[in-house]
Amino acid sequence: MKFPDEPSLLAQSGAKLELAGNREATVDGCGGVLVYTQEVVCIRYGRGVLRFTGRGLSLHSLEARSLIISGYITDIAYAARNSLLPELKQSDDKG
Amino acid sequence: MSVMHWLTGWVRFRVVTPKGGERFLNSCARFGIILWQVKPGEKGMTACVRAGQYKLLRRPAKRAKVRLHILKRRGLPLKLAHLRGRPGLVAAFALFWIVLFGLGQFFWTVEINGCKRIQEPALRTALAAQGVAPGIWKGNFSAKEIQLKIMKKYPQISWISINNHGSDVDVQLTEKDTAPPVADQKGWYELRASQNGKVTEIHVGAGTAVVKKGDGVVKGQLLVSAAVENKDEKFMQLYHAAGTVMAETTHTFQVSVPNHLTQWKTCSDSVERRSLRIFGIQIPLSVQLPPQGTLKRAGELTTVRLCGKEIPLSVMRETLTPIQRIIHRRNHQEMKQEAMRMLENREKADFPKAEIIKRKDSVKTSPTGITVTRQIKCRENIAEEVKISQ
Repeated sequence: MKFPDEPSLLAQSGAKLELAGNREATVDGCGGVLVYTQEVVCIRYGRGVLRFTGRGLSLHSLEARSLIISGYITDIAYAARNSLLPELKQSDDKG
Repeated sequence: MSVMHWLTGWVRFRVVTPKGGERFLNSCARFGIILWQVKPGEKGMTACVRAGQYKLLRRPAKRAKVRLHILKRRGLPLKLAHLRGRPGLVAAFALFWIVLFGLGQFFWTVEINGCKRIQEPALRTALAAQGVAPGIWKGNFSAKEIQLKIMKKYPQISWISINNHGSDVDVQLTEKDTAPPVADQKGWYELRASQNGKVTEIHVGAGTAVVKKGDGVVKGQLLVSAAVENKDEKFMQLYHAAGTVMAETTHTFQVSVPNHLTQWKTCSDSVERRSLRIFGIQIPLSVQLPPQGTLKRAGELTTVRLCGKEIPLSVMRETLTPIQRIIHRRNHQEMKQEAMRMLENREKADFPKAEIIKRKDSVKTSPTGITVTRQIKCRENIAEEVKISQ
């Protein structure tokens, strides 16, 4: 197995996303919370935006550069700089 | 909530804002304020923060233009917050632990069990010299070392155990039993005179008498020999000589009685004082001051026992009697009476088994008193067993 010569830019900035099934997500390197409801949590992540969609979402812990999202996560979407996130499906919200 | 959150205290609050509270959350993160259990709700999002950091939320709230509403406050600091207005209670709590810990560093009771011939007060004094007494700091207590020292001081102790139960010391000891004298049945013995005298009667149980009635003997002279001649077999046999040799003996002794007799006499009424000894500290209960001058002290110490165990509380009752020295000058008759009493006591002590036949007293008077010399003639057994071989 060959390791990359240089770690990615995201790894260099300390950003890391860790999922524990679909019940908990730990995000290191969070730049701030953009949207926070029980169904959607959008956060600034690296140079883009990370969006968690689900039911009964809550911020289990919020610190300076990291947060823990807990709840029933149904979808995770990421949009890099100058790109748009895919639109939310109404059925997901109700389901 | 975790135990750590409970120990540091926590506050659950609501973020009241017409808009979302995301800006407030980001401001909090920027100020280094840790939030947890951030839950969105219809009336606004709710979150928890450490009790000590709640005041720090003012700036992020002002910046995000939100209002905060406290929902719940829990944790140890908040439980103790009401004690701020009651310093006495806090001081008493602290004092309780200090006193409990401090007093635990001292011995408060010393219980001694097993004393038969050894006097308990003397043993207590010896233990106190080794640092085991009520009110003494137990820092350098070493049971083994003290046991050895006490055993060395009291050779009659066969076994001693000093047990430290917190502030109580339990001393258990066993004294040696005096071994009964072992009759020496081996070897040959002869009877010799223990006093000078004139033999009046001889009863020989074993051995051969070498003196006869009417003989004068001196101290150490052979009276009954261990050798017995077997006339039939023509040989000598040695025995353990036994018997009694009664003799008339003479003894002289004297006593002196001075004409001045020093006596201590009570000069005024006694004063009774009571005091309380608690944790080795004596607290007087009587307001009366001790009388002036030389005092005779008598009293008793009663230790309070709870459930059969001594507690460091005792009541001391002390009677102080003022006394003064009086020199009484005795006349000749009084001195002679005293001398006779002393001579009788001496006779009983020195010659308990002798039968006194005759007494002759001579009194000599001097400026300081009288000296009575008594010569007694008595009848007593002067035979003394002396071992002549192993």
